[in-house]
Amino acid sequence: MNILVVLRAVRDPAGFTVNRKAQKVFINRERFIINPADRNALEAGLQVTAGSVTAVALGGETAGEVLRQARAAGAARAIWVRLPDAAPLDAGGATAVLQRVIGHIGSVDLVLLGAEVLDADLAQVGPRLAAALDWPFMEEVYQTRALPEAGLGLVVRAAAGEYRLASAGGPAVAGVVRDCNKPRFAPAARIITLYQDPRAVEQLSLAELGLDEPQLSPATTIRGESFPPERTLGQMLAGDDAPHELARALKES
Amino acid sequence: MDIADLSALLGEDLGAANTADVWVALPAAPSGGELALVGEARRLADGLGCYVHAVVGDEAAAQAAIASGADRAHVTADSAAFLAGQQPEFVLLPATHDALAAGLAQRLQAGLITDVRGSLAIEPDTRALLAPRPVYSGEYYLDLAVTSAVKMATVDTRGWSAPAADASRSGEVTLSELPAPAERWQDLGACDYQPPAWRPLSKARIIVAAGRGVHDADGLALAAQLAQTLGAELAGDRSARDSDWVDEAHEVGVTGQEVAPELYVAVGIRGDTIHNAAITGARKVIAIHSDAAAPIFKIADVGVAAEPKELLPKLLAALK
Repeated sequence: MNILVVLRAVRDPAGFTVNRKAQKVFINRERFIINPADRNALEAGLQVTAGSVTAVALGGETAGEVLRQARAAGAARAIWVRLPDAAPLDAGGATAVLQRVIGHIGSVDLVLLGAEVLDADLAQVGPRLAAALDWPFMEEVYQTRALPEAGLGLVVRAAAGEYRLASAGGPAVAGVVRDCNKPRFAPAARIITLYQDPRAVEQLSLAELGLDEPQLSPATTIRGESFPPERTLGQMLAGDDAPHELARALKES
Repeated sequence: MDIADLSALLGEDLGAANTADVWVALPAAPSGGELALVGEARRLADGLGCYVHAVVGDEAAAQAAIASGADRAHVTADSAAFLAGQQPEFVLLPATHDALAAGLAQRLQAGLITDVRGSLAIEPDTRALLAPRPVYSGEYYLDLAVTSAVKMATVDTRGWSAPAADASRSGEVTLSELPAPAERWQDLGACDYQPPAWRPLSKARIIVAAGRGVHDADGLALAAQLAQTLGAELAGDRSARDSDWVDEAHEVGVTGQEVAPELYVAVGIRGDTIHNAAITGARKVIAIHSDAAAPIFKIADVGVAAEPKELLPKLLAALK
C-alpha cells in the first residue's frame, strides 16, 4: 500500500517575535521546522507496517531539508518539487502540483496531510486535492491501519467521542489531527548521511510535471500583516501583603 | 422596501444577476452567529449593489436567512453541488465548514480564505475579496486578497450575535431537486484507538505553568505544590521543556500545546511571543516573575514581581 505524506516547512515560531504595539514581526533566526501536524501525518503513515511511505514537499531548500528529516525518520522515498522560496504557491497551485505528483508516482492508496498548517492558509490543500482527484476526504484522522482483508482504515472520532474505523474502499485523502501520536525521532547521524547521498531525495521540476509558473499563478495573495489587539495588564501586586492578595485572587478565580 | 421588492417592481429577474451576487451557504439549523453571516453578506452586497442568496438545508432556515438579509433562499440537500452549478462571484461559509468550502473552491477554481477573523471587504477597483486570517495560533494575521473570478471565504462566526431578524422582509424561496450527496465512507465499527497517554492540557480547567524563573528542582517542586493545592495541571514553557521538567504534551506554547483554561498561573515564565500566543484563550492569567519588565506582565490580569522561590511558600501558607 502506497501512502503519500505531504510535508510543509514552516518558520519555527521560536525564531521570531511579534510586537503588536509596533505592528511588526521581528525575525531573530531563520529556522524552519516541519509543520507540527504534518509530522503527525508522517508518523501515522509510518505506523502502517504493510505500507510504503513517500514524502513529498514543494518549495526551495527548506523543502529539501524536511524531506531529509522524513527519510531519516523512515520514509522509503522522498520527492522534492523544486520551487523558488520567494514565490510560494497558494492552495490552488499546491493542489495542481500534488495532483501531477500523484500521476507521476502512478499508484497511491492514501494521501495524508496535517489537518492544520501554522503559517499559511494551506490546510485547504487536503480537501482541494480530494476534489481534484474525485477521491473522498476525511477531515480529522487519528490513525491509519491496514485492514485484514485489504486496503486501509482510518480512525476517526464520532460525535459521541468514541473512536471508529472508517474505510473509503479505495484511494482517499485525509487530514491528520495534530498531537494524535508521538512522532518518531529522526536520528541526526542519519540525516547527515542522507545529506551525502544525492539519491536520498528525488527532485522534480515543474516542467517535468508538465506545469509552468503561469499555470500556477496564485488566486490568493498576501497584502500584508495585521495584529490583534494587545491583552493588557490588569493589576500589579506589591508589598508584604502581596501573597495574601494573590491568594485571594486565586480563590476568587 | 428591500432590494427584492424593488427589483420585482422594476421587472428584473433576480436569478439573472447570479454571477455578480454574494452567496452564503449555511448548515442545517444555523446558529445565531451563522445567520449573522447573512448580515455580513448583506453589507457587502449593498456596497456592490447586488443581491444576497442563501443556500440552506430546509424551509425554516430559508425564512430565517431572508429575515436576516437574504434576497433569495435556495433549499437543497447538497449545497456544494448546488453552488457548483451557479457560477457565483462571492461565496461565504461559516468556518466550521472549511473542508466543504475547500472542495467547492476547487470545483469552482476559486481562491479561498479560510477562518477569517473580523470583517470582509471588497476592493472597489478590482472586486478582490479582502480578509485577515490568523497564523501561528492567532499571534498575528495575514491580510489576504482573492483575485480569481470566483472568490470565497469561510468566516469564524463564534462570538457573533444573532442579527436582528426583520420578519417583514420578503424574498423568494426555491427548492432544488438535487439528492443528498452519497456517503463515501463505510463505518467499520468502534475501534480500540487510545490517544497518547496524557490528559490534554487543552482541556484543563486550571493550569500552573513553570518556567526557567523557578531556577531548579526545588522551585519546580513549589510550583507543583501550588498546582496540587489548586487542583491544577502542572505544565511549563519551552524553557521548562528544554530543562526536561515537562514533556512535549505539557509544554505550553505554539510549538507545544495551546491552552484555554479558566485560570492560568505562570510561575517564573518570562512570557515570550510563542508562549503568550498559546494562552490567549485563558480566561484569567496570574503571573509571578522576578523581573517586573517581563513580557508576561503585559498580558496578566494579576501580576506579582517577586522571586517565585520566595513568594510561593508564603502564597501556599496563605492558601491554607
